[in-house]
Amino acid sequence: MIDLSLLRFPGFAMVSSGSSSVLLLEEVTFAWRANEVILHIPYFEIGKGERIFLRGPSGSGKSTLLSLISGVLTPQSGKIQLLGTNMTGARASERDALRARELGVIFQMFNLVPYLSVLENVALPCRFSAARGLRAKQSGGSIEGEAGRLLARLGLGEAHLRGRKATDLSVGQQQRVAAARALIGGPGLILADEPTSALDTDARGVFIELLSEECAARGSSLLFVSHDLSLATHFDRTVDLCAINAAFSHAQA
Amino acid sequence: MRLATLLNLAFRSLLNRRVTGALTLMAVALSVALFTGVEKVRQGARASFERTVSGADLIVGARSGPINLLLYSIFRVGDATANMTWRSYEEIASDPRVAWTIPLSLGDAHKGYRVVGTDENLFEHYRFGEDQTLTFASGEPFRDLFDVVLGAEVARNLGYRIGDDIVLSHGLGEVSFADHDNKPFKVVGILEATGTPIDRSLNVSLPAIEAIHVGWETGAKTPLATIMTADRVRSLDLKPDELTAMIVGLKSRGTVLKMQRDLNTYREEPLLAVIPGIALSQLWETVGIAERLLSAVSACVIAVGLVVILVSILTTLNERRREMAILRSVGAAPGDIFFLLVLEAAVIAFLGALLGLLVLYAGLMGLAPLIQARAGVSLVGLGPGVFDLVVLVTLMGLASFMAMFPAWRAFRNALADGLTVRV
Repeated sequence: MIDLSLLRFPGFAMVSSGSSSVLLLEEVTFAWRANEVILHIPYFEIGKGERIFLRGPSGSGKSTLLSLISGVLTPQSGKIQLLGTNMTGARASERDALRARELGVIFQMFNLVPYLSVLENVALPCRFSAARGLRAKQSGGSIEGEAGRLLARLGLGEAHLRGRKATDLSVGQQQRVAAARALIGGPGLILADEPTSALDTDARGVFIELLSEECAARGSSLLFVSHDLSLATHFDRTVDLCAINAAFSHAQA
Repeated sequence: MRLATLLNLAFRSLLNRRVTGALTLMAVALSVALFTGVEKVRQGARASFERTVSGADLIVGARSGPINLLLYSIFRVGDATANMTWRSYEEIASDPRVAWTIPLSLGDAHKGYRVVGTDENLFEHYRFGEDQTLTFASGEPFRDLFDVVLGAEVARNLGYRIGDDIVLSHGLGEVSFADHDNKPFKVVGILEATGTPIDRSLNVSLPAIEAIHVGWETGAKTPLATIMTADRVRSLDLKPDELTAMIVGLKSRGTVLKMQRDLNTYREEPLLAVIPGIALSQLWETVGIAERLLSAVSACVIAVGLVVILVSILTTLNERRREMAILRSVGAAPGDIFFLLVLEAAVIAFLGALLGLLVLYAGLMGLAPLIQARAGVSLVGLGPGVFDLVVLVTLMGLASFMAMFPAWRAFRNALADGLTVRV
């Protein structure tokens, strides 16, 4: 099987579209059940390298939005463009390939595959996208080397940690491993869904700073979702999901 | 690359479920060991029976049943109900169509092994396997009245060497109550192993059988037997009156049916002549039903093993939805999730079958001597073969096929869940 993702580098896509936006949503609507539109986003854009704080209380449809952005769900109407590629027009396999190549995802908790080692968890996206593996190699010499480098950057440099099973780590350590996994191979966009809610206040700041630095270092944009506005100071721009989600405001009004 | 990744994931997830994984593997291994074991022993029994008679055109004995005659004369299973006369033997042997004959006189034993009265034709004309003749590991054919040639297993198990003296017993028990103790035999030859009942026999001349039975005409030991010592008995006329059966080789195969008919309508006494191949296939027909039943039962056990694989995957499905969401988030397609679970089933089937075959061969190696001694079935040629590979591949195929059910459910979950598990 030829991995077509090799042919579509982000730079190439961006040049061809002539746009600097990493993510672009236009008139996107989504409903789990017919006539119950829970998400209607007229317009939302993330620029290259931008770090955005998306404030969304539970029930505002943020998990659904993240699934839409990552191409796991498809909207009923509208356009989602990731790095110049129109996801809504793409086939499911193309969306999966694009996600593998250009997205890093950090969940609230339980981020890691329990039966893989720390290092293997970090390297996982490179196993699903050759292009991403290639970029990791270019950056770190080898996929494992890059994984180790990222772990070290995130304060998990001790060699004995790398071979550990992911579930043996503390929650804070697990979140940092998840961040390393999201960052490996320099994806265009990193989606972080309440990644710090399981951490104590001191650790939150450190975690966000590390994440921001690494995103900046490799030019990845960051979409950080949280209900905790006190974290918003770490970001370039704050967006309120309730404000951009027309469906939510209707329901509230 | 994708396949390697998924295979690694399947393997690692299995390793992670140590206890349930081990139990599943054990169930599969046992079912494979049982199924393959039954088939092996079945095929081994057939092969071992079939390689025992090669090149013999007819087996002739007193009239009984064809299978019965074949069993007691060649395979040494059961006893003859009657003997044939020496006169008939001589007449048949001198028939112009007959190339060679091997006389067989059974009835005595030594420590559980049969004593066979025969003549030098056994060493010259008996064929087994692929037309092989008997060869001597050491020594030579019997020449003197009290010489004995041992089968390979007799010599090995009882630790006899050339020159040893042994005492034969009357009757066939393993523990003897009546020994021919004043007429000891000397070991003059030991045969190479053949994988046939010859390995378990002590071969002596026909006059020797007569000699040790002087004074036993009534079936029990009389004082005459004690008086007639080994030296004295040599002066008697030891020409046999009767024998158990004979193996006949013809000059031309084309005459075998006519010859068989002539012998079956023999005027002097009621004889039975059987063609070994035909009698064997009759034997297989008789035991076929039991064989098929045994196969069916062991196939059911395989089915149980497959169900165990299915259950082991199905039960983990719900607790693994989070894991599937993680894999989706790093780029796995729903098809990858489907394939991952199918691969897991295939890996379990593969490892289970491999373990089962190992257990089987370890068991066979341990049990082969016992089976050979007790059942007379030599498990020759039971090494790993194509059949094992077929079992392995088929089991993997079936397990993968059945795993499509949980895999399909995981596929649907993956589509419905998105990146967050909606339980």
